[in-house]
Amino acid sequence: MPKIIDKGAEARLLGSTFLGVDVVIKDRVRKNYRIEEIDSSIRKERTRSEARIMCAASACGARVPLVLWVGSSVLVLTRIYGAMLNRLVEGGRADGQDLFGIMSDAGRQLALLHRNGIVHGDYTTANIIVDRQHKAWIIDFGLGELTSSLESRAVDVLLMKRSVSAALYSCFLESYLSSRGYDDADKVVARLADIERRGRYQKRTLG
Amino acid sequence: MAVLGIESTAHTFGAGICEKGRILANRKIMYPIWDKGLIPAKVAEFHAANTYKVIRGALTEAGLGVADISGIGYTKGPGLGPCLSVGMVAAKTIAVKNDIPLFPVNHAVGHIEVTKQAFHVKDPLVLYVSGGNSQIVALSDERFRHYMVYGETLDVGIGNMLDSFARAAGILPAWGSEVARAALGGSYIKMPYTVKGMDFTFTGLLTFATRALENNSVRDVAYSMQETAFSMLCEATERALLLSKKKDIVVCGGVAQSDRLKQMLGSISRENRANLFAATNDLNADNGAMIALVAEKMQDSGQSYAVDDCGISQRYRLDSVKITW
Repeated sequence: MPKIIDKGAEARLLGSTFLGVDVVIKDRVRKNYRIEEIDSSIRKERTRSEARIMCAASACGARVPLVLWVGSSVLVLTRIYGAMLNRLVEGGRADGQDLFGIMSDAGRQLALLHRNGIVHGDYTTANIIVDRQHKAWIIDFGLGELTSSLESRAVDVLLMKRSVSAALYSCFLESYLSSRGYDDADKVVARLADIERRGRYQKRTLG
Repeated sequence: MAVLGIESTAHTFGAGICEKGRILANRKIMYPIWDKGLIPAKVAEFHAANTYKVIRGALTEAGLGVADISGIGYTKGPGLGPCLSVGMVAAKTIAVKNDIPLFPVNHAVGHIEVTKQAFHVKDPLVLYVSGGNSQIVALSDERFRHYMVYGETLDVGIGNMLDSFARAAGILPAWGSEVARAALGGSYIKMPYTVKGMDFTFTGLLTFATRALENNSVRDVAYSMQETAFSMLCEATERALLLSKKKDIVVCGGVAQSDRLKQMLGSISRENRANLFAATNDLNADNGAMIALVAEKMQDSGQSYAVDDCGISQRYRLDSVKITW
């Protein structure tokens, strides 16, 4: 019997087995606040798009769960065991060294995705699982896009910046900037500064 | 002793009076809007012409004289510069002449605190939706206690979007509540839906909706645009609710007068076992009482300002305000 692992804002996650493998079933549930037309099209489109993006991410060697099956609002994914990075950061359970190593890994993984035209869309510590080997696994591509848009890539970096301390962010950014074979990182960071200036009533500097 | 609050952010000039968190008077006058947006200089002129009448009206309503006022709050921002200046000058004039302490208040903090006070809510997740703003915030527990932004619009405020659409569609008077009326009984047309994490954008939706007017009825476009925009706000709010683990939701600001938005947020709060709080429409519309209420909290928690430091700031960000109470 599938067991509920977690309930997020848009989906519930069920643990089960599929073809003898431990899996997570991601079930996008009906949201009663929005009208049926918007709700069903969002659930269907996001499920399909998430499957497409995760397959692309697997193909380029990024650490993401494998997609085993796709339904109209259901995805079956291989299960990754480990600790959520946001819990590690909040609880300070990993020692300092580990967290910095993991943040570097998260930066490299993001550079790998971006180099291959994949944007995550919600790249925060809540969407990274750390396995026993201290490797970062990226989950939840529900807001992802297949695009090389600098703007979308910059939003990925911005969301991580907002979700961790300045020290952890600088570690993340350093590895993002120095990842091999990825030349657009500087442009992305420049765009990030633009976005931050565009935020409502942000202090703006002249020149 | 009571505190006077003066509000003049945009189309409304208001004066309110509070004592120990209780509202004694709340008077306002609104610049008449019909088919055009606001021209700041003209609105400021209107405010200046009504300043005395509104403030005097509030004192009369409360049965008080200037001698009974122990502090004066005014809106420092965010808002339209010329309009803010009128309120600031009025507040300074009364304060300096009668030697009363002056308090510069953030407009958004006013909307939030007045709702918290009305329902005795301590630590809610807040969806603040008005003409120029759309933000999801909650109090931080850092040493610099302030409202931390979880998500916000990356371009225009939702109220601005609704007003701009009203003008494009010829809806009169051109503002959000009339768009809601025009949307009744509409059918859904698919529209762009943009949520980035807990942030959202409205200009793409506005452009799409404006163009859709060429081939569709105003009713269907208004309905679809409103449903799409509110769904975006609700999705971001629900995500912030789960992330922040708050138990109460406050919705405030001008657009919080929307029954449809409150209905949708009600559904989210029930499904997440949270409570939803929305103040009455006269407190969600811009008003002076909320400014008086915050000024009183500022005064009681020991804040003080030199008259020369009391200016205005059109871009006074909510998350830069220190919360000392």
